[in-house]
Amino acid sequence: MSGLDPITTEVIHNFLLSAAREMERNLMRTSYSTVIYEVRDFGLGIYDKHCRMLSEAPGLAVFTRGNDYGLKKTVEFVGADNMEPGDLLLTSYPYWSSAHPLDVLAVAPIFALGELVGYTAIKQHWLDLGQKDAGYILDSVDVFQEGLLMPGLKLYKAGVLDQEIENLLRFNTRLPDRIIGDLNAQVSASRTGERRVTGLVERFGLEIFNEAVEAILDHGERITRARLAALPNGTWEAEDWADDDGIDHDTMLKLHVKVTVTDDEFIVDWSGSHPATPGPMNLPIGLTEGVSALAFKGVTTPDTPANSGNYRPLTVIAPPGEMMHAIPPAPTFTVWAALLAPEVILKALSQGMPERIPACSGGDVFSVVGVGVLPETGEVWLEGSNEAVGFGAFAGSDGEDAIMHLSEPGCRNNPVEVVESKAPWIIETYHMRQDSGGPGKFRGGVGVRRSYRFLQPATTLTLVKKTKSAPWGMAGGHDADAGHVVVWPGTDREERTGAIHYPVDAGDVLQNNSGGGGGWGNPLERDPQRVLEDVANGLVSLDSARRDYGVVINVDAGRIDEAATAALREG
Amino acid sequence: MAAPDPITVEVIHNYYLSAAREMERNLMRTSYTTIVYEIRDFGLGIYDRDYRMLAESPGLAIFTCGNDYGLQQSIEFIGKENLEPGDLILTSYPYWSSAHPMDVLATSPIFYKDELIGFTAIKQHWIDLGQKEAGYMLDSTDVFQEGLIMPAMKLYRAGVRNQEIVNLIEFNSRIPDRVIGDMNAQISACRTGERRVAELAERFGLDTLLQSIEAILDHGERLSLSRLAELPNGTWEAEDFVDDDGINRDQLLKLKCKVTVSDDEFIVDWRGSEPTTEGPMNLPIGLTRGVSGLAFKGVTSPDYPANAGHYRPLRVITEEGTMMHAVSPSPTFTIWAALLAPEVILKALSQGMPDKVPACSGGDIFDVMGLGVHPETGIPWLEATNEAIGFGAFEGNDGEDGIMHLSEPGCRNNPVEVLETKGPWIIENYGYRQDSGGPGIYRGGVGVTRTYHFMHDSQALAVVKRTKSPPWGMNGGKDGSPGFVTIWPETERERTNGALHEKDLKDGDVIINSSGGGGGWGDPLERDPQRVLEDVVNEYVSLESARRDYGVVIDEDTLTVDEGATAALRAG
Repeated sequence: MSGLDPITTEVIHNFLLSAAREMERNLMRTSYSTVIYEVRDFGLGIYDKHCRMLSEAPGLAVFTRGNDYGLKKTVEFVGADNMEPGDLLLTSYPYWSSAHPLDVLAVAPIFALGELVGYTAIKQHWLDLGQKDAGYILDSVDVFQEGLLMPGLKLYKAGVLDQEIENLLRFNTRLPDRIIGDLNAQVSASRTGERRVTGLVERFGLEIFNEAVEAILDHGERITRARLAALPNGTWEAEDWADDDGIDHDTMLKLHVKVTVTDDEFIVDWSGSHPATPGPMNLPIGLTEGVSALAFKGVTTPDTPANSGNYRPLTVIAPPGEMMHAIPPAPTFTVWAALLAPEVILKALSQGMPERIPACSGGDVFSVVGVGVLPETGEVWLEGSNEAVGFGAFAGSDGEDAIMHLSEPGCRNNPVEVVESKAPWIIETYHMRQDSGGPGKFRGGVGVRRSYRFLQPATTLTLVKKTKSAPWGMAGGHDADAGHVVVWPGTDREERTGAIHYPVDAGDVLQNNSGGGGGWGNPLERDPQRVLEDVANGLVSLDSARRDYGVVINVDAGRIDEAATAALREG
Repeated sequence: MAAPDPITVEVIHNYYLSAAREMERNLMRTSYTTIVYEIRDFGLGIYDRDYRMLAESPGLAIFTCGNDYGLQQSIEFIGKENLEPGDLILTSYPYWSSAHPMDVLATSPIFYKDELIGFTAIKQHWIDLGQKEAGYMLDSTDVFQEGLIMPAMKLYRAGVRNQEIVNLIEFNSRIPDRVIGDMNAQISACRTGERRVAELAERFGLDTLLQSIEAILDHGERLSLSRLAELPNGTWEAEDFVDDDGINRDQLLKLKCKVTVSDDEFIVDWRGSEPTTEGPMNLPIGLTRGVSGLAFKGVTSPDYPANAGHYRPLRVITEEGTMMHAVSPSPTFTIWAALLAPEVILKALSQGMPDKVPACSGGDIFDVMGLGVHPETGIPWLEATNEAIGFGAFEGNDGEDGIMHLSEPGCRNNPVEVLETKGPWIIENYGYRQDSGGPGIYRGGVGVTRTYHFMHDSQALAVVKRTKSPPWGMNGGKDGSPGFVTIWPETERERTNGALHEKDLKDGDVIINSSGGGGGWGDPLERDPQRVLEDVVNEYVSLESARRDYGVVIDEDTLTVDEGATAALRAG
């Protein structure tokens, strides 16, 4: 077997990347729910027959890497020998699928030239699978409360829909039409991936395809190792805290990590993190591996598309039975510890490579969900949106203002117009949150504020678990203002909180404030002109300019008062 | 073709009855769980191909009648044309199966030479299907919290076990080994029924069998109609109250029925009962029909095994979307309104036929359940028992003491020895409840009391929903003493309730379950003093009650009736 020429390899590689992107388009164009086509609450990829990821189109980036584990467990359970062309399997057992049961993993084997050559895998959020509370759960105590558990059920058997399994889904959901609509989109996107890969193999032949797969993965490994070798070696530890587990609201949950970097290994050890939690903050191991990989990829090869080869130098350690490695039947529904985890790894690394690592971002996805019954039709409505956060500043630049959290770089917020047209609420305010970014020589990005006014009685859920631990600044930069939720603002009942699950009446207001990013470097060293710009843009207040940055601005003139600034900064 | 002679019909009829009994034996001998093999929390029957019940073996009597509806809904959903020999179908959608989702209905078609000739149907309690709370639920607010919903799924297709569905059940249960063990017993019992009926067709030929079925059902109808014709005609109303729906704990729930008896019809009209409840007290329509059928059968042909023919004169009227007729997705888990309903029908009838109808019984099945992780094995344990109650007195006789409620005549309690072997608790006390029977010329039966002492961290549930409305006496008889549950007795935390769900019991915590006594019949001052004395000697009645309620003075030392003092007191 002669070595494959690099051009063919690259053609095949790009074909696979393009196929994943086409799967994504297919999914978004055909799904029923805004959570998928607007928010992009999914993660998908194409795999080889050994369950190695070749290309992905991440919406929620934390999904795709977890899909590797879910695919592997599903194939092991069903048996690769029992796969037939046209099969499509559903897995919602969280310890395998590596997300909560409402994030259902669909797996389809790909056959070409009579052989199993790979798999597609798509995980996406399903609106309802009969979990104990409509919408979302913040306080489950075991997996059985969390919705229908599917252990690799073949929805399609050799291309034929198993009507019994579709019936099962319909009967176990509060929103059958929408979830079947979204499921059909998921099936369709899987079929697109299968068709593309089958066509690819038929065009180039099995031998070349297999060689190309090895070459792609080996290349992924090589570039990762090259980047890894460029990092300082060492071992560093860090910790951060998620708000609570939803049952015991007063106990913060520790994420503790020890990161070891050598020239050929990157070890993430979560030992010493919180024990298993009674509430649903435990992470399936595949998800812990996934979020660890996300940080690893970010510091090694953020500029190339991911494949399994990239992750070969990575080792993740998490003792079974602790929060970072859930074992059945521990509740896992609120997977929020996974959102905080990548930045805890970065925090550890920042001790060894402060110039490469940003300060902490707003640190959460700040999701708001409303559920109710539409007065006009009597149908159940369910809408929600994640919110942008401020990113952490880093050596040389401010943090970005208001972009989606690094756990969900492919996601978007749900637009005001869509949210308002789908559900009986209006968005009263939506804007950048002044002074939420951490002051620094480089300023942390600001978060946003969005206020929902309910027009009908409903239930609201906020999925926000980083309100107590402020986003850290670095190198003398200040912490940012942590995100938070305010219910019934400006009334006697006003309550500042994080995750809630409340009934609301017509006229009630919920204000979602996402976190800003931490600052980098001493704010007194920030160029006063840039502070002036921030003030002019409304991102920093006059008070903060003076108090945090030592910059005095003449409002009438719209200019910096140089003398007063110099005096204040020397102060 | 000549009609089969009556002897052949009766042989075939008895063969069906015997086959149903064999299914029951099969189920009890092979099930894993005491709830099935000790308590008999099941109901099973054999049906013809038009879903008409031919023979049953009721454990929980209210199950079997509801099975008629569940069987028909399941088969219509799948389509008769899609049935094959060897199929076995599971249904846990409560609006069809006519019970909560943990009472799973298994049905299997019976074929003879490729022709569908009937069905078996078995409903039994499954101890966990991933419902929101382990054990049981008292406060669900929609059906999706109530466990895995199976909409008539073929567990077996043409005799081949569908491993995917087995996997599905295993993954959605907290106690998979026992659930699958019990499920296998259920399958095995269905197969026994199929085999017996196929043998019958083989032996007698299909034509004879089909004609005999018509004869059996027609006989059932004739019997019912003749008994019905003996009853006074009229229309009577009555109501009673369930404690609460589990969510709104202070709101009693009304069952109201209007019963109309004519020579050829028996109409039970539940309109005017409670609207749909927020908590899980709503009844699937099949269950409302089933419990109405139970009362109807009781006043017409209690002495004859049930078949679908008996119920032909019965008509049940409900309003959709109310407590007595649940619509999806309203919660139905705590189906206790079904336990009270038959006696509300009897209460209505008592106005027209006081000589035929007893006073109210203790009125509930007084179920207590314990669960947790067994300290010795580390695996989940779950044990339960229903409790016997006092029956209502009736003209001519006292109510029975300590027997199972009329909704579950085929059930038994779970013996002390079994409970103590299976769970980390001990039964400290188990006895009749003195003075719980309603005084009367004929005394209401007494309930019982059982004390559970927990020896390890556990959860306890009491499923008891009739503690606020006393079991009524009749014709001057006094009410029975309603049942109740006491937790942490003789401590500062002592509390008396009906239903409870305590999730955090510790070693040494105690629960006392006290079941209700039956109502009395007739003026207690007219009761024969010698019978009062006997009751005192046997401790069914206290000396105080003998004096206060019956006007009977007993000499404590000699245990004889003080005739003079009694006469004076009664003349009072």
